[in-house]
Amino acid sequence: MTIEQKVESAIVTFLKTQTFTDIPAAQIYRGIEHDAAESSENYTQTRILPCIVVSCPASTASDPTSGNRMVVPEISVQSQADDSTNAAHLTRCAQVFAVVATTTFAASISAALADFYCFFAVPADGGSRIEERSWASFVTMRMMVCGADIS
Amino acid sequence: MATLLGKAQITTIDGGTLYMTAAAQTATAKPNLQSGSLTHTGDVKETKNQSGQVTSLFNAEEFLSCDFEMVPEGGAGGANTIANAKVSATLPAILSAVTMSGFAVVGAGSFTDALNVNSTGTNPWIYEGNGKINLVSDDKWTMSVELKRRIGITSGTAVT
Repeated sequence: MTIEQKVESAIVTFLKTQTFTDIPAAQIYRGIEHDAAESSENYTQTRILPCIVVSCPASTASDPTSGNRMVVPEISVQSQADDSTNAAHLTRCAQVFAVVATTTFAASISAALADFYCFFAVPADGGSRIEERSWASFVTMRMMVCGADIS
Repeated sequence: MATLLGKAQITTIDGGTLYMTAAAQTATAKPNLQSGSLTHTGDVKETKNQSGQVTSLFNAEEFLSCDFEMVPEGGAGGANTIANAKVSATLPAILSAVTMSGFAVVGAGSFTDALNVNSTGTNPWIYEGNGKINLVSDDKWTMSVELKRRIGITSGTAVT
């Protein structure tokens, strides 16, 4: 598993332990936006809305020799615009982002996955966008991580 | 078994606090520490032989200095108010003893815990001036202070 996959898996595993009003654990996804092409018959089944998508597309070395990595994963909340008001979407986002932007987040995701450690995690950028007919609001986290258990 | 390697490193200064004044400590208006630099220094004297070579060294003093860059803020443990941000931005009186706590415990020479010591503790951090507040028109204010901790000054209580 790459460090990017580990970051996504650790965050998804942690988020699935949390309780959200209308986003069940099965609707918390890891990875790129869509697993299937838009033309695929499976396209509409790849993401059931509302959902949370955790994506960590890249990492960089924190220094030349340690093996520790800097990553900026994006945690986005997506709601169907046709059956959800923007206010309801933002309420949903507030629930999700409240469990992410905490001083215990780094420790929580470190404990969520074996052979993974997060040194620190601080909120970075955030924003909203329209994707197809869904609202998508996101926050990115600036994190230093490694693929080993550090004590 | 780990498939990706990493190294245990000390990161961030989360949890470390600096209370520069009693008012700040009362209001828990802690400045938001952005970075710091700890320096360990002696006052080493050299003795040379008649050929000009240094043949002995003698240390007459040992002290630590610590410089902090920080953002004065309200809300860090106290009421989230501009008034508390101003309390946080207060530079203490010259020769005040200040409190540092919650930092990682690291040693430096005779100081077994170089960073953490209460203002009423042994060998406290002393503010000897050179504090600076940066007034910014289009961004938040920042400030910096320089502190010293001397092995021969065992108490922060002023002699009157």
